This record gives sequence, structure tokens and C-alpha cells, in this order.
Amino acid sequence: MVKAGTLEKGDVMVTIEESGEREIIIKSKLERLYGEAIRKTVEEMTTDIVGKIYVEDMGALDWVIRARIEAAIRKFRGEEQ
Amino acid sequence: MKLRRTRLYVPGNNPHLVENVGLYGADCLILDLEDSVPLEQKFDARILVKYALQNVDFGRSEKWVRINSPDTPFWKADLEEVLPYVDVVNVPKVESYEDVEKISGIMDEIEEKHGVEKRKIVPIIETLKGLTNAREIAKHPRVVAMAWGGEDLTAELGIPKKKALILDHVRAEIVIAAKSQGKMALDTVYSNIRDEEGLFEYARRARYMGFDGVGVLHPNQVEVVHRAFRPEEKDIEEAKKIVEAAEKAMKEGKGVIALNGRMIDKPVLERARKILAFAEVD
Amino acid sequence: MPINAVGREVPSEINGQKFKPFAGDMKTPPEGRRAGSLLRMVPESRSKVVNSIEEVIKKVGLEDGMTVSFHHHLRNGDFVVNMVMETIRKMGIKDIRVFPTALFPVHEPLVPMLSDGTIRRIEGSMNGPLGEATSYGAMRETAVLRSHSGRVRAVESGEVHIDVAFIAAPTADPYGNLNGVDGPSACGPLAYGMVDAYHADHTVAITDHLVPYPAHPISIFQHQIDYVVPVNKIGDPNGIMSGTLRITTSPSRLKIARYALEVIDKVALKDGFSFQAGAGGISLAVTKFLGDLMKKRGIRASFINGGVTKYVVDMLHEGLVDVVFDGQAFDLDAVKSLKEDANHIETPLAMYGNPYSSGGIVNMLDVGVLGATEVDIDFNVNVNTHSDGLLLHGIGGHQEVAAGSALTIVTVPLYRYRVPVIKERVTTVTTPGEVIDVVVTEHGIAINPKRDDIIEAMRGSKVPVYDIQDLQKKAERICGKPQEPKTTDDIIAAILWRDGTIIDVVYRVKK
Repeated sequence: MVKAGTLEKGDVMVTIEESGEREIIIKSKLERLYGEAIRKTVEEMTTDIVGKIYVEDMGALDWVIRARIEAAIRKFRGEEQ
Repeated sequence: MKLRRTRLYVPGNNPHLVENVGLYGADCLILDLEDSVPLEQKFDARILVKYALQNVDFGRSEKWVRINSPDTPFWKADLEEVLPYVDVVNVPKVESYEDVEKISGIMDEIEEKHGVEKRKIVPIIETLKGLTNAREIAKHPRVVAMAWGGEDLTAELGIPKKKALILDHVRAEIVIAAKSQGKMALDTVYSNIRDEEGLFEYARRARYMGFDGVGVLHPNQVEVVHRAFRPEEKDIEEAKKIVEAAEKAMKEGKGVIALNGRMIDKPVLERARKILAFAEVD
Repeated sequence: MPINAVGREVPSEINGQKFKPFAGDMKTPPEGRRAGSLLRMVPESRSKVVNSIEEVIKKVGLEDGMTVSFHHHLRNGDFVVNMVMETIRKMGIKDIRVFPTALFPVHEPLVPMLSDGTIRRIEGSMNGPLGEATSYGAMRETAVLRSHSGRVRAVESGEVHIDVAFIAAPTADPYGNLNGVDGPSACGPLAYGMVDAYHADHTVAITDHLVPYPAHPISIFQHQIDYVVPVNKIGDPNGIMSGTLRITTSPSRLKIARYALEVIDKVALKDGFSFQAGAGGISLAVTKFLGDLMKKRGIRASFINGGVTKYVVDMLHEGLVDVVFDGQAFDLDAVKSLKEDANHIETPLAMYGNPYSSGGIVNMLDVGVLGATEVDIDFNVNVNTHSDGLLLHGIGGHQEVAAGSALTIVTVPLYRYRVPVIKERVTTVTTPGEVIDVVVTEHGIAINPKRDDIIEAMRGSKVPVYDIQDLQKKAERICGKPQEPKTTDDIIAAILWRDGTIIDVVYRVKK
């Protein structure tokens, strides 16, 4: 399991867990306003990932979500330096 | 003329602090990957900073990133991630010309790969060894300014930083090293973010020591430092007259600039231009 | 349904009562006479003390369907509303209309009473859980929200008749003289309770600090109080008082305060000027910076209307302001000053900004600095709902301060978390753009185009001035466009302008 990001205000924590199936779970305090936008970003960036992707959003802007997803994906692939 | 009166340090792994950086009017913004980022967040931070550099409005501020020092395993990865999107690389604990050369070499490769222009370097002198080599370091073509930090230096000497008399000498060395190469000299931060008067005095002192700017830790410090670096009104008026006279002479095709029967030579004109820049007069 | 002057479709009837659509501030003249309460005669006893709430409810003859009122000086530390409503529920009295000045998260125990038949509706501000429950459809009838002054108007005009007013009294004597400056639950003024004391058919003071006759000072006088009920505790001081309110330390919020100060300086700052103070983080910062600037320039204000805090009291003591008008105190410094300083005056709420009166304090204000949850490109302001449609805040004095002040400034961040604050269209209109002059954000300000004088005054200032459309676009660029709130056609609340016309309605939100 890999994690990227934090649960601070304006940040997002992205977790990817080994799993035979692709699954995306999104929890956001802005679900009612940005739930669809967040899901779109996550789907779009993680198309190649087979695993359980868990996103806990604390009101992050889209570029922050993207940065955290990229970090998580690269960790998941063992590219962390 | 590019001003670097203030360079605001922003922790690189904190999106909430990073997203508003453009608002505070600092001449330079430093997204920090070094001291403000714990070891286990180094990876996340450099990716966040890469995205921030491309997505956040930096206003008129110059984009800096402080990478991890050349004696860590992180600096290369830092550069590979962020270099294409920065103006200036701020390098801590530089000790020799070779240190700069080593970093510059990697920068060459990355710049070529991404097809971007040469980025600038501002080294931070933090050790006695670095200090002895400061004049050499300042010669490197990528170096546009010299900065320094007193933490390690005073630890090396075993004296409390607040009482360290030697730091004024260090300051003078940095200014001499930088200015003798036509580079900028940048003083370190004033850490009491609540003391406006103290900061003003500190920045004034830096200015009279020959520095072109100081580091700031809080957005509220920006305006105070800019005020401290503002030249006196009579100097601004005088400088305006000199620059006007120079422009007039140029237009009339005269080789000699004269003001009130006095000849204006090149260093005086340069000084006048600098005064106007610091006074933010166009 | 008719379309009102801010372009919102509004019903002409709420809970069977007729209402006019909003036509603009001061565009709907009043009709009729002031409404009155029952005349009554008390027995020749020297005490009005009744020993329990249940007993007093029996004495006043509270019945199904009646209206009970409360004031909110004890804010989130109040025990009285829950105490009284729980007794009413236990006594099996049904269909009550609750008419508070405001309710807070501490009043969450009222939520189940919305569905068990005890409460048919609430007419008043609902901050937090009650507003949220109402948004999801928990209230049987439609909530009605009024500003502080709009509520006074509703009572005085007979739009709302109060059967029983329950008045939390930090200090009371056995014959019903009350004040808020002494006792363990001291809150400062009792301004919000005054109109209820005068107009309700029955009035009950509830106190945890019974003093020998006569109590002094006196905020609400004995001839208006029928009964006094001593209880163990009327509130929790930690929820009543805010402790030492701190100025915001957020650099972006401070930037907003600095820009607001610059606008005040360029437009309105002169000897003898007046302003409205508040307790929000930005508002506190503006008050503090304004005080510093006045000191530097040797300028003195004629009055501050509060929202009184330590920062206002300091200005009074430093001679920077002649008089403080106090409708609400936020900290113990404010309470102490109200008690001790002759030029710190407790003002009845009826004097605040009721448009159907001979003129309120707000008419004398030069500067009002207000907050908002949303502002739109027509300068309309929303303070009631969030962008997801949930009703979470009351109106407070927003409408009258905005309408009265010569310079009305709304201070808001461009966005909160990821949610744009400057929008194309606010979710709910609380205050119309016609009474808003300047919107101040951390990115710069926008000036209402009809205020040429302000546009002119701000020329040459270092504060960036934008068209409000540009600020809106900037917010959307940074945040992305949020989804529209998922609402139904059921109206769960009506937002009244201070004159009693409907300015907007709030719809039920889908779970």
C-alpha cells in the first residue's frame, strides 16, 4: 500500500492498495460540489492502475489532486527516489 | 532592473500555503524542498512543487525552488522534477566552485532534454569552507546572487547564533564576493515574524551593508522590507534628474551627460538607475 | 409565482400568510399601526417568582399552536431554549411556532421536535444542525428568516404575534427587572429581548442570578415582565463569551483586511465618522487596523455600532471614539465596559435598523464592513446558504447595515477551500446588490458601477481594482466550476428583506 499527500486543509490523501480488481473510492468534504470533478480527474489519471484507489479530499484544488495522484502512482510502481 | 529585495520561503509540501503565494508581492518566491520538508515527504513535495510551478499564479514574482543540498541523495531528483518550470535554483550548503559546477552539469542535461533556457543559481553559503571559497563561487556564470545562512557556521564555531559577532564579518565577505563579480548579495532571514520594527531596522542595516535584499518567512514581512529598501526621497529626485539628463543627451546624440554643469559618469548613472528601480519608479 | 426585484421567483403566500415580493430597499411603504400585547393586571404580591418552567407554562396558559420567543444573547452557550422546549414537549403541547432571534449548534436537541409534533415551524436564524435538518425537509411548515431589524418590524407590525416570550436573564430581581452585565452567565446587553418583552402577551424571565429588588442596572424593566423563574444555570460561559477574540493570522485574510482599510481610508475616513464593528476574523482585523490608522492620523470617530469586542473597548478607552452603541457583546471586556462606561450605550434592537420606524442607528453609519458566504456579479450577497444549497446561517444585521451604511464593504476570500465565493449567481439572495458598494477580496476589489464617487476615490490607489466579472472568472479558473446544488421544488424557508417582502426562498436539498 502506498500513500501520498496529507489530511491538512486544502490537501488530499491518495492511497493505492494492491488488489486484483480496479476500485475507486472517493471521500470529500466537497462531495456535493466537486464529487464529479474529482472522480473525473482520478479516473483519467489512473486508467492503467489495477488496485484499490482511495482518495480522501480536504478541499484540494484540482492541480493538488493531480500532484498527489501522480506521486501515489509513481510510488505504487516503485519509482520513489 | 530585476529586484530581489524579498524572497519569501514557502514550505513545498503544503498546498494551502503554496496556492496563494502570488498575492504577497515578494520579488522572489522560494518553494522549499529542503528544511521545511520532512524526509518522508521529499518525494511528494517535489511533485507538488512541479504542479504548483505550472498552476499557481506567481504574479510578478520570480520563481525559485530551494533544492536539497549537494551532500544529500535528493538534489538530483529535485532538479529533474522541477527545473523546467523555475527561474532560479536556490542551492543550500554550497562549499566550492566545483559544487556549483556539479549541479550546473546536471542542469545542462535537463535543460537540453526539455529544450528550455539556462536557469540561474543562487548558492547559499553556510559553512566556513563555503565562505573561504565564496569569491570563487560567485564567479560561476549561472550564479546571479550570493546568499548565506548562519546556523551551520555558528555551530561549526561553537558559538550561539544570536551572540555571534563574526556574522557581520560573514556578511561583509558575502557582499564583497558577490559585488566584486557584479552579482547580487542577499542577506538571510529575520526570524521574529511579529517584530515589524526590528525587521525594518534589520533590513535597513542589510541595505547599508551592501545587500540587495533579505529572506522573509512570512508574507507580512514583505511590505516592511520593501519599505526599508526604498531610497530617500531626495535621492530619488536627484536620480530622476540624472536619468532624464542621460536620456536627453542620448536623444541629442551627445556623448557627454551633464547636469547643472557637472559631468555625469557611468557609475553615477548606474547608481541613479538602481535608485529608481528600488523606488519602483518606471 | 411573481419575480421580485432581484429576479427571483417567490411565492405570495407562506404558511397561509400573504407576503409581497421584494421591490427594492425602502420601496414598500408600511401600512397600519403598531400591534400591541395583552393588557394585564398582576396580583398584589411583591414577588413574581415561579419555581419551575412547567409551572410557569401552566400559569401563562401555553396551548397547542402558540408562538414562543427567545433571544440569543447567550449564543452557543444557551441552555434556556432547550430547557423550555423540552418542558413543552414533555407536557405534550403540540404545534408550537418557535420564534427565536437566532439558534445555534447547541440547540440541536430541537431537531427531533421538528418531527414529533412539538414544533410546526421555526421563524428565526438557524445556525448549524437545525438549518441543515430543515434543508433536508425535517420541518413540517416553512421556516421564515428575518434580519434583526426585520424581526423587530414583524413584531411591531403584528406580522408575528408572540404568545409567550421566554427571556434568558443573567441577572433578575423577584419583580422582573433584568440585566445582562452581572451574574455567572453575563452576556452584556439584552437588546434582542427588548422588543419581545414589550410586545408578547406573556413574558417570563429565566435567571440563574436572582438578586434582591431592585436589580441594577436595568435593561428590561419590571412592568414588562410577568414571571421570574430561577434555575440552576441558564448557560455555559464558554459558549456565551468568545474568550479573547484573536485577529486572523492568515496572510490572505489579513490582505483582505488591509485592502478594506485602504478603501475606508480613501473613501470615508474623516473626523467624526462612524462605523459598524463585528466579531469575525477579518472584521476584527479591520477594526484593529482602523484604530491604529486613526491614532496615527489623529482622527476620532463619533460612534461605533457593535458587535462589541475588546478592540472596540480599547478604542473607546483611548479616546478614539466618542460613543459605542452596543447591541451584542462578544467578550468580557465588552461586558465590563458596558457596565462601567457611560459612553458605552446599550441600544434596544428596535433602534437598530427597522425601516418602518422613525430611523435607526444604521442610517447614521458611514462605514459598514460585512462578510458573506457568496457574492455574485450583480453584487447580491448570500449569507444564509452554502453553495451546496444547505441553509446554515442566519441573516443577523447584514441587511440593515448594508442598507444604512454610506459605504458598504463586503469582505470575502475569492474562494474557500475549493469553493468559489464570487459567483455568477448567488445560491440565495440575502442582501441585494443595490446596497453593496465594494467587494474586497485578497486578489483585489470590485466597486459597484453605480458608485462613481468610489471609483473616482480609488484611482491611484495601490489596491488592484477589477470588474466583478473578472473576479468571478478568476475564482472559477482557480477552483473549477462546482456542480449545481441538487434541490427539489419544495420551499423549506423564506428569506425576508427587512421590510417583510420576500427576497428569496430556499429549496429542499436532496440527500
